[in-house]
Amino acid sequence: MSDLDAPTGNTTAEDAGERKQAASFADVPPTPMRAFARLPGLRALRSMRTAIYLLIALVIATVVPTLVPQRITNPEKVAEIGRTHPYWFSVGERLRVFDVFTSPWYMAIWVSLLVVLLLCLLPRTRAFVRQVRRSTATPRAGTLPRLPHTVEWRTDAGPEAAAAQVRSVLRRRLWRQGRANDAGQYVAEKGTVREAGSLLFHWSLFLLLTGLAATRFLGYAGQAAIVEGKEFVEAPIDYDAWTNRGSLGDSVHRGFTVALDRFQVDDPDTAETPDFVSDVRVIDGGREVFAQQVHPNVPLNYRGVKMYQLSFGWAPEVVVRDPSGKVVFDDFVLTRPGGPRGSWTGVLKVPSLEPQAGFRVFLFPDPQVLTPEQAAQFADDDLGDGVLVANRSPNPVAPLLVFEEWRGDLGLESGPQNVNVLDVSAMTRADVGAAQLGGDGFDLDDGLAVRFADLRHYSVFSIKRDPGLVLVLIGASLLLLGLIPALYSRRRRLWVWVRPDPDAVDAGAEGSAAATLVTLGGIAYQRKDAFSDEFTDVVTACRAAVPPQERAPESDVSKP
Amino acid sequence: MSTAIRLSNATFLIALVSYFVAMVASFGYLAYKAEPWRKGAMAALGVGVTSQAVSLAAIVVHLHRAPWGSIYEFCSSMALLMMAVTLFAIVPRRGLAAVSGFLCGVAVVLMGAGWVWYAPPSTLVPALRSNWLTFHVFMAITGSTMLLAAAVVSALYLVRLRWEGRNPSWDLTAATTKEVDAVADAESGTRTPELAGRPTGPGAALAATPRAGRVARQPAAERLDELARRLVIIAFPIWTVAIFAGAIWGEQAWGRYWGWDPKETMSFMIWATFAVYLHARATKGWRTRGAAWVGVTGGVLILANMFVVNILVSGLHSYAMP
Repeated sequence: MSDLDAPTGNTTAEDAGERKQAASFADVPPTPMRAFARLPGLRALRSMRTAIYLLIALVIATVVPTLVPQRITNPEKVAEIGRTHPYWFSVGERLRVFDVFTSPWYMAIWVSLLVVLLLCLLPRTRAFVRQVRRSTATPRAGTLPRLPHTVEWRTDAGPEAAAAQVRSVLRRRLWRQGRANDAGQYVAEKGTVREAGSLLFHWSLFLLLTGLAATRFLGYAGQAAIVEGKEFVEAPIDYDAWTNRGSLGDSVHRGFTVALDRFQVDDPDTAETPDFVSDVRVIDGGREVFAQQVHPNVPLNYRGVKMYQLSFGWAPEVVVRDPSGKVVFDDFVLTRPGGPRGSWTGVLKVPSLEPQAGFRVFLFPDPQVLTPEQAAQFADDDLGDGVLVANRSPNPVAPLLVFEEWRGDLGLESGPQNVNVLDVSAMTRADVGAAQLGGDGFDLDDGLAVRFADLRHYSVFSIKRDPGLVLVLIGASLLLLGLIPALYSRRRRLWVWVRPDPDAVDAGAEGSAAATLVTLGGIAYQRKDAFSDEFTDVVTACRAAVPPQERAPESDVSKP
Repeated sequence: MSTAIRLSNATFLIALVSYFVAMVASFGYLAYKAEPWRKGAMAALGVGVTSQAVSLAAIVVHLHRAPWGSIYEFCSSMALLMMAVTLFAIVPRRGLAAVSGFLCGVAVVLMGAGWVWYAPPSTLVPALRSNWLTFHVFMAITGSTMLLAAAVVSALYLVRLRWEGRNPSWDLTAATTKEVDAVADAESGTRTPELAGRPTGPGAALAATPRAGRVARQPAAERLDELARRLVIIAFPIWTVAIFAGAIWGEQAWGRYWGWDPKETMSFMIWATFAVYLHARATKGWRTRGAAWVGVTGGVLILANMFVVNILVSGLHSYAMP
């Protein structure tokens, strides 16, 4: 990237020798500084070609996560590959193809790219600062350099009047003009903003990535389900899942409470695309702070923690009593859609019983009674043809809870378990029953009694704290701000020389006013083709303001 | 199906046929360089753009939402944009008109693909209703259409460059046309793009031979390269804005601005590819062929992003809603 936008001017030997003094009028502005040039290898490392190769490598590496499912976006699919192709799965795990974005090899490409970028940017930034200071500095008197575009003409106007006219033409055209030396020479420049924009763009990338890193290491993100009427405490224990656990530990959590008072979802029969909304109250330090409705596009934002409405579901309250009538379980069970016959399924575990008990529950919000013939078509599903119901609609009409009782060892000792899965490898199916909402419940064969006490919605929130967000936003804005001039602006310079005509001076007083010689030279560092037109325009405007002598020889337009 | 949707479908098909006619006429112009072909292409494009505008307007008026709720509508919006640019910026210029047949071809393929994956326009799920989303998709359509057009032009440039390499006497012609250009510029102070596309010097006879003819009548490589560059420098910031707007919407809707969702990953790849293109153009050894190949690769990625990701890969961006 060091040679991106680099002026193609020729650096003269005297430029290096006379760096301390002001540049001569004949000097073409210096090319970007050659830092580290003496260290072998470093020059190649910070060349644009290296950066291009690395960027191409990054694009090719990114093909992998578009073809292979990633754990962060599609964990189910990754787990499925683990089950169906264990050998390839282990190979993939070793190569980290399921976690490309956090894998060492992907990071290595990024880091190399950033290092090369930094090595390009530092010298370029230094050179740019120097260039801004020096590009229109008053030059020492000298001859006009060899330039792609040069025009010279004689005019009857006096040197001062002519210089003032040219100056005002260029000012109207927004050229940045230096001060003239005693010989009437100065330099004007336009499009310095190109390099400024390019530098801003590339530095902003670093700002943006710093923000991303801050989010990853200083922030956290997870999900939590709250049952209608219940509360959630913003502390690690109340989270159900994590997408980013952060690196600062538990102390950074805010510890306030969010109470879900009500959850509403549009009737899917009347609304084509149902909206859903959670009415929540935020309680902090024992005091209610505010109440808000959280929609899919309207998150809750409190003390840097944001809660987004993600999804929702049904949570039946199930009460289990042992044969003596003692309550051994009383809680809301989170169920998910997608169960057999349109049911919502969930799991509850009662480890206090001996032997331990586990239930699979199937919720039918709007059950429809089936004939045995109708049920026969479902003989192969989890419920079997003994259960004569199917779900008709997602609206709770006469909700029915079907449950399947398992007794044995829940396997809780063998480590953390998924709360949504019942491990039946050491259990036997004991009984099947059903209970209506608010009814008396169902007595199982082994003396347990199960009651379907209540049915509420639960609402799932994506919760996160993102301290890098502001940096990312600033980085992205600056990046855009820099991109526009970097792409559309182009740097070009004019050499202006207005002086008394030496020939006329030699000829002596002919009575008429002394003629003036005006010279304009120009060079563009980008889009040289477009500059021919612009240079012609500038010259035309100058000649309109400072008309050439009629008897003078025609102007000499030279092009490369 | 309501009347508005029926109208929308009918005008869509009229537009598809018109673009096909415009494509044939443009290729006719490419082959015979005769004005009637170009005028015909322009007329067909006019009919197509008008009726497709009606088609999309019907969706907007009927459903009160922007016309990009499904892959069909997305393709249709993209094609309309591409054809509108062709109608107003490419065909009227004789020096560039020969390119329009290829752009029409891309539009016809886009619309054909949209028709294959047709879904009746309907209202959207809640998460898809947001101003940022509308803006995001608008910018994504604009940006990807222009980048795709740039890729097509880059491909034509590569063909032309190869041809110019094999026909060295063309250089002579190019030099001559350049001079003609320069003289015309100096005389009138205005640019005359038509002149450069038409060989007038010693190469003209060569260009007229039937074998070399088709490529010879294409705009000069330099001009194609410049057109591709302009398209990319306009489209690249638009694509950048599209990604940012999508990130802002993602932040609002899902609580994360970047999650390496398949579509996000692909859009990053496209962005990086065209960043390579821009850098390659400023690097010795990459300036011509290398940069053009990078541009063509970018076009392939855009198509992959539109079709493969939407249809085969599941993610937050896939149109396959439960």
